[in-house]
Amino acid sequence: MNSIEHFGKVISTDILIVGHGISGLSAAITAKEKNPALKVLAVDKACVGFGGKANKGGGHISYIPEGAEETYVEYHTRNLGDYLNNQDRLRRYAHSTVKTLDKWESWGVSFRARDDAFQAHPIIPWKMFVVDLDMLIPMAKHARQAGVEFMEKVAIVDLLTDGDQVCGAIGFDLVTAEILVFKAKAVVLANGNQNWRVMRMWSSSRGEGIATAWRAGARMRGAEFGSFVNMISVEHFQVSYGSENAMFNAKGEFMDDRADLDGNLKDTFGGADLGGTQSISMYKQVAAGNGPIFEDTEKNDYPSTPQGMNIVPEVGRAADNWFRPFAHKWWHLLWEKNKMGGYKTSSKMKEVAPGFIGEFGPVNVDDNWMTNIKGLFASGDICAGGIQIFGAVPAPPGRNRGSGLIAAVYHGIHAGPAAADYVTGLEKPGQIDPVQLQALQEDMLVPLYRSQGVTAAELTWKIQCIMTPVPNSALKREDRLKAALAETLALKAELPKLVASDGHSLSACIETKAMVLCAEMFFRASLERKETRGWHIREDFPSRDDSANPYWVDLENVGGEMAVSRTEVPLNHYVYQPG
Amino acid sequence: MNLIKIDSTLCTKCGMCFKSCWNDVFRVDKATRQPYAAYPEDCVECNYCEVSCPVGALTVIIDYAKPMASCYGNK
Repeated sequence: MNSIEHFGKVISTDILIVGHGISGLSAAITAKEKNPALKVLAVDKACVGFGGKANKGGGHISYIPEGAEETYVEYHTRNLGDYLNNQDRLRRYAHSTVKTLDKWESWGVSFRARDDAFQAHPIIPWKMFVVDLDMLIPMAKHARQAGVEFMEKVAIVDLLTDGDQVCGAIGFDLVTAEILVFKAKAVVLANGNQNWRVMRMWSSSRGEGIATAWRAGARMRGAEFGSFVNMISVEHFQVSYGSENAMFNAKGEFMDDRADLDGNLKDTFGGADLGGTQSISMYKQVAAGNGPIFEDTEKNDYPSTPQGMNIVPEVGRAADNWFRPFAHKWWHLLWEKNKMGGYKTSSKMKEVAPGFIGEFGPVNVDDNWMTNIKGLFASGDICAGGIQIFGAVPAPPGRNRGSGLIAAVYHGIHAGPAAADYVTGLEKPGQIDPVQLQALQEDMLVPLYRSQGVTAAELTWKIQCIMTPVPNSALKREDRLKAALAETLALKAELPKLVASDGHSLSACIETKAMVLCAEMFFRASLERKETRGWHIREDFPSRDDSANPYWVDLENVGGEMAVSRTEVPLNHYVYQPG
Repeated sequence: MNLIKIDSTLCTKCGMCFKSCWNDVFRVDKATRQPYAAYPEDCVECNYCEVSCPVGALTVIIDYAKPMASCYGNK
């Protein structure tokens, strides 16, 4: 048998961080802080400072002020987590947001208006301020100064294991297609969740890390909750901020059924606790012949309000203490382009639609962010569902605006040190098995050797057409779930036909495989949960089932088959019970 | 498909477009060091390349007619 050098360029590290978005950077920095003697290498398909999703949104940061933690825990458990959240973990999170901010700010990010944070929720005491969207650049600079090493344009495909422990990974260079073999004592998967490439701004989340973990034997939990939907303009595809308060059906009837969990939340900034139920209202209107749905742009004045200009700087100029140079430039450019080029008429009525995002992150980890595979950790959105801090919601927690960034940093500053501790205490590192390496290499590269077949783009479009419809992903029913699962499995049968011509298209093939796998997880887990709970909404089981203790739906890779099981939530151990 | 135009008379070949694109759309010509959009079909009009270009040499022209999967389905 060949040595591992035979298979490609070999890179050795103590900790391999997969993904240098916000959570990966946080994990890398804090792993190095915990044990500076360890080699920490962060790799990503993107270049340093531009990976992940954190820099492509609002840059909103919400936190829980000291003294208000328990109010938050109870509200979240009762209204968002719907009793599927691990209340102990949620309480630790609630008591950590201020400390997380302090740590994050020490890395040189440009917080704005932290001292002027406003009350972002009428019930839970969320406070909100902002960070400029080039935040990853100072974080990466700090990481480099701390000794973190980076590689760019690297796709990680599979994990190498020795028995029940991880010992490395295999991937390739996107530009040159060179094969890369990583020897690592611990691996932290921080390469995002699954959004099926539908909503374009968030399409960096393609679920390869989830698939990587799954193929290595990692368990999944909460896969039925990856169904986040936002409101988008049909004409320019971008999120239409504030449109949820100014929607009309084709008959001109005002759709004031915001369908939020609590009517008091209606005036909350941007729709805190954004509900998947709103997309269902839109779907029902359209199904009843009252579509399409429009936003009355004259009634949606949010972008031009003082708060709108501070938070979502599309027009005007933020107040000085809220002003963010990069965000201002970027948001204004998008606004001008979409307004000038996207809108086809001058009518004030603009069609809006549910824009499926997903935010599916079911990698199951323990209190130390470690999966059931020794030395394999996860951090950020990839495990935001699987860690069960937040319960019956897609990532980020409860879809409260501003909660995503801080949650990702929170993950990182715990997963990184946990990985460092693991490596420091590791007595016998695993050894790479050349037989396993060869098999994984052959499977990874096979699309390059096919002369004909289907492209990743063709199959990606098909999986998007399965995931995107509200009646498949947001309003579930057994017959539709079974049909969607059957369509997904038909696509799965086409995966062996994928064809690639270079590193870029090979990466797309890996991503497409992950999209199909994640769709299968989503539909199988959704079929198992025969009730409505949180963001899992069943038309055929419209109520929460409180007749027995709640349960988590777990998925396990058993010989290549997806086994579905339930784990009872230890509700008696927790403070808050239904009722 | 979006069109990504680079004005070669302005471009300083600094590589910021390549670096800022998280969708791996750009490549750099080995001989001339000139960046170009090798995979424009993967551009998602985030406009990070345009915003990041220090000399304003790059423009993303968004195709607003490209298809998106149906959000309501056929059922």
